[in-house]
Amino acid sequence: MKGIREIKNRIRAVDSVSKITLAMQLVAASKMKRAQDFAIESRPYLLRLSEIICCLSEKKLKKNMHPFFISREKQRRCLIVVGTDKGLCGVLNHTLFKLIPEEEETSFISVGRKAMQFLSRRKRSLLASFSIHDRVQYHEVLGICDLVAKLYLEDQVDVVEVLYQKFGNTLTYLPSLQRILPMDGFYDVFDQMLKSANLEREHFQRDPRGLLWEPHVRQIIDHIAKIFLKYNLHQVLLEAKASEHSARMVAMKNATDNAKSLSQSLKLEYNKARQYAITNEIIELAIAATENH
Amino acid sequence: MPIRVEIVTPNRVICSEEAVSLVVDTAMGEIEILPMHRPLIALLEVGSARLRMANGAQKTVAISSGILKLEHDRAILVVEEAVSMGKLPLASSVEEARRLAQNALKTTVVQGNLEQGELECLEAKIRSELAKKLTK
Repeated sequence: MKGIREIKNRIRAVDSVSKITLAMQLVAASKMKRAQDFAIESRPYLLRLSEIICCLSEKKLKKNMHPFFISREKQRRCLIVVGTDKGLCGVLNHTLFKLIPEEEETSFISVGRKAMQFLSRRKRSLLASFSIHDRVQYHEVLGICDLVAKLYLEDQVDVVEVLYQKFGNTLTYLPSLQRILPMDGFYDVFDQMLKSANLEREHFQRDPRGLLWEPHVRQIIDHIAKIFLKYNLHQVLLEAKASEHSARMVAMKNATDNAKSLSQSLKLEYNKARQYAITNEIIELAIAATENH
Repeated sequence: MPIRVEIVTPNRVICSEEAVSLVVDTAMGEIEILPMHRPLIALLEVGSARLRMANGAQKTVAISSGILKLEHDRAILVVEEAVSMGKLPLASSVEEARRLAQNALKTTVVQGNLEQGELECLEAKIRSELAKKLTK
């Protein structure tokens, strides 16, 4: 059996660890609530926007080509990996990084320090590295947006995808790979969104009178192309933040629970050791007393 | 049959209501949308969306640029920023400010009406305090 002093030290250490993890859990919980609200409340915007884009028939798109809508033959990929800045959030980053493709020619943009560290350790071609504040700011999104649009328009990459943890609820996050450029797969995206919003496509039947476009389809397509990229990325980052804070809250809660149960079993061991020592002393006293007689 | 009007921003859904008429500023000019309007997709200019409800009530929402989609009497305004004017406590805050000002005026009047004797007494007190401080 270990010494009493040793066990006592361990109990003290475990207790202080549990205090720290509890504090972190509480901090993460408050951040989680806010991040979740942001992510959920901004979903309708993208849904409505893609609903408008789905009104664009293929004929209209072909006639008024915007570079963002044209898919190219070459498929040089650029992948935006949205990790976290800090650790202590369970297997969140690990499950995400497992999905990073091994192809050599893929270039990367990292968001969050953990993603940057992972990609640079693997010596992948990292083009830029961003860090996002807990409360996602538009100018941060704009920076990423500008870079991506520039790379795409200057013909340096042909496909831009984003890898992130999609927020389901506090306990479930789905590592997702979403294509953001070119925006030719709209109907798929729209169908996915409808599914997550529990709506049917029949809900959005076309009016037989035909749509009127004001002032001109071309201008509307330009406008949509500009904002859709921006708010698509914005939504992705909000979802990633919501997942991060939820994962951290759960991880810290588990850590606190583990620390508490460890502390309890250590206390039991401590009491046993103490009792053992006392019993020994009594026996020694008793032996000494009988020998003296 | 009323029109279902939804104003959506990236932060949240600002308004989702039924109206009998909707007036918005589009790139082509101001338009009024009534039930059974032809399906339309239009660019919105910075301005306001004015809704008239069935009971005659009016609602104004200030909006930034965006897109309007109208189909099956369902108008969706996808804008980057919007503020519901009804939520701005303009009228009430003005009233509050006025009330505060009047109260302040009243109280100052009361203080200004101090009797001459009281005033002298106060002045003397202040002087003696000052003198005490100076001599310290």
